[in-house]
Amino acid sequence: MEDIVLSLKNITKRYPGVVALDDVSIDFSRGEVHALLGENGAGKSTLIKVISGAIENDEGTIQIDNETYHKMNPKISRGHGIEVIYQEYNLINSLTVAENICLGAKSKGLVNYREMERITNDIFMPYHINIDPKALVRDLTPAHQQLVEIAKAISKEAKIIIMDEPTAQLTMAEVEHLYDIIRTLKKKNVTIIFISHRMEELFTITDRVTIMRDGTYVKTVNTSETDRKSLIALMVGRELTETYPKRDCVKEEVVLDVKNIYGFKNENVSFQLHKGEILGFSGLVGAGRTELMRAIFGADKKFGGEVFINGEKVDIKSPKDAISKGIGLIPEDRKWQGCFLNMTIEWNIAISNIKALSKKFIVNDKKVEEQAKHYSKRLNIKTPSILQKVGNLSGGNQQKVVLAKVLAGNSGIIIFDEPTRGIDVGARHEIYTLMSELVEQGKSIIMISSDMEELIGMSDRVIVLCEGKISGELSKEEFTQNQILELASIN
Amino acid sequence: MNTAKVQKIFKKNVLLLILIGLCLLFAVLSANFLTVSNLLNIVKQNAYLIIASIGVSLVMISGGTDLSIGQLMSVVAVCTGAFLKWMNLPLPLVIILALLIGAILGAFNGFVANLLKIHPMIVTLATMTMFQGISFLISGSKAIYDLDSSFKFIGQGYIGPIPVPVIIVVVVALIVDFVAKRTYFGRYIFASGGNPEAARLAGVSVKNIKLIVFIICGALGALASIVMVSRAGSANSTMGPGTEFNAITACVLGGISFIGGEGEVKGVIIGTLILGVLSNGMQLIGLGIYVQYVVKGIILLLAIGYDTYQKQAKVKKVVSTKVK
Repeated sequence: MEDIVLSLKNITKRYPGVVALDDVSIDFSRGEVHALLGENGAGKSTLIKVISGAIENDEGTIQIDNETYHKMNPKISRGHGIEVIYQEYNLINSLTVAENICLGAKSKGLVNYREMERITNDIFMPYHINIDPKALVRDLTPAHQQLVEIAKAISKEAKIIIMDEPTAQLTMAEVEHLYDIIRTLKKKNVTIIFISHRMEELFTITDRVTIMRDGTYVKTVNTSETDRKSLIALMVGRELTETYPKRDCVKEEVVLDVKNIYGFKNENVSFQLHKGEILGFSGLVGAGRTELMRAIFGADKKFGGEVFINGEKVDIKSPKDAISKGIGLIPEDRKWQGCFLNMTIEWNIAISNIKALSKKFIVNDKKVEEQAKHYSKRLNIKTPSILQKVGNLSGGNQQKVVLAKVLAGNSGIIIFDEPTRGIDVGARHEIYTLMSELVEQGKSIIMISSDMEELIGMSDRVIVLCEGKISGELSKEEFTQNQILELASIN
Repeated sequence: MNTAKVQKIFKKNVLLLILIGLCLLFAVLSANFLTVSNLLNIVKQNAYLIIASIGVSLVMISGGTDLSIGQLMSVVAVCTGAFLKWMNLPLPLVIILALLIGAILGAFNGFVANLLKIHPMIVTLATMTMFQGISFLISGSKAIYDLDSSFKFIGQGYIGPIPVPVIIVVVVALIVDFVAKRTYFGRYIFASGGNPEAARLAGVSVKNIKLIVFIICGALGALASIVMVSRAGSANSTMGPGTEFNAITACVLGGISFIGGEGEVKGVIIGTLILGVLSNGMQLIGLGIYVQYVVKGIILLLAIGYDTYQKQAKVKKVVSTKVK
């Protein structure tokens, strides 16, 4: 086992005012799957960037292949076979799969497409990747793009592959495929460094886990000798007693009645949402969950169907209509759909209900400020000031700003689309508590989630979509991971 | 004061400092520069540009650009001349009609951009040519001379010691600044430019905002044209074109982001004045118009370069800022 492939010693990285990495030493063994675990801001991403040479460490050394470096740079790092798969893929969308994989490979002048396709297929085969090498990358699903990215790393004969939250955008089936690929790579003695927020997958796939907190190294443990609870305790430095708050507040009353909706991806979808209920929506990526909600919310066109709110038929043609009818949406992609990154927290929270905070046309700055203070306190937004730009906040806090914005609209029905994606455990728990509070106050929630644990833990009822249609509905007593998966899978 | 504070003040007022620096430079190089009459002259000369630039800046903040503003001004110029001289309409009516024409042409820009879902830059590239044709069709390539002296008062008159165009600029600047900063409509403009999809999902009718902003830009272009024509005392179809370049330069110089969602009226005014002082100063020390073009181009590159540099510095800062 003690065949160290990469050794970090006393790595320190300082930014003005902040120590991002503080004296971190970790050894990575050959052929192991080694997870880095920690809340947002723990220093995982900075560490990866130090290894890949994207940023320079201030102190410490990096030892690889019996050579010691004080600083990495991307060229040296690549030269030693280190490849990083970031969350934002480094693929060229307008090129084909084969072109992307062979990009940068040495060729003899002319481009030989048939040869490139053959090479690509050769790489794909042992990993059971089934993608047409001639397809354009932009036409692929995120999961397939990720596979191409991995194949690219494999084609460079990488010795260490670093994956930054590789499963964040994948469905269960796709995650399984990724696990298979990782196992195959492991057999070939490739070291995988794996960043994830999802506990369950650590236990499925990793050999060892290194926990980091606030830029410092906490501990490295063998996965087989630990459990979920102790990992969380190491991560947050305290024990979380109960991950999912309990409640009992579902009423008979139907607040939202959706009948026979047809949308871009959806066919004939009908469901009801009760007062005080958290209704979970599950399904594979591409099953049409987000599209369904966008159609109901008026963000995309719907081609048929009726929506009733509190028994009254409503005609929602735009998000503006939806908000005025009392529906709020917390979108899937907070950076591109939820936040105004270069604006202040105060400004962001007020944008949705700014008219209510204005007299005639003129904004009442005092009300805006009071509102922002109220919500940043209620949601525990961690910031020195509400005049901080949202772009400067961590992911979890950005998500809280989006939540505050939607809550300020005082909607009775709130749609959460992947509310905790990419968010650390602490913030996650706060969001769950908030959701519970909201339904206890008589609001109703629709929650789309790809995180099975969260879906089962939070929902009162789960509707499963498959290929745009409802494939089943499960009550709290019925749902298990297997049941949901069964319904979500395409026959 | 510590260095960090000085740095912060410097960063905040870098444009103003550049403007002052340029003024000092030209004051040393030419004895005629730093006189009251010359400085007022600079503002008077550039009044129309400031008004047009403010219009364009609103479009840019909302996430678009207006390349057609110069040709729009040309259409309004010949229409104003024609109303006054050929149709003998009363002055107040002429002004209202002129503003209306500007607003309609602006609305056309906004409407087409929304309808075809094309970036306004491309739309206004096309309408720019259209407007040019319309202007020449109306004027028949003829100049309209000897405009009424009551009309010329707008561009040449004084109220007390202050030139009328300067008063117009101040009023426009104050109103637009108020609308941008203090009204919810202003916030919607920034939202639409800063992140259109997030704005839409937050219940903002981004399309309406873009349309209204183009209408305002058209009306301000018309006002700029009125000031320009009345200052010249005559109108023809070649008046106006070129303003789009100066206006966009002034905006970028003044910190209006090309991607949208960022900017201030103050910056636009200072940006325009920097360009004005450069032209005036270089004229005074005997540098020709061609040299001026080269210098203006270099300034634009420097401004964009600085803007990009600062944004990258900001990104680095974001990485390093960790909220405790």
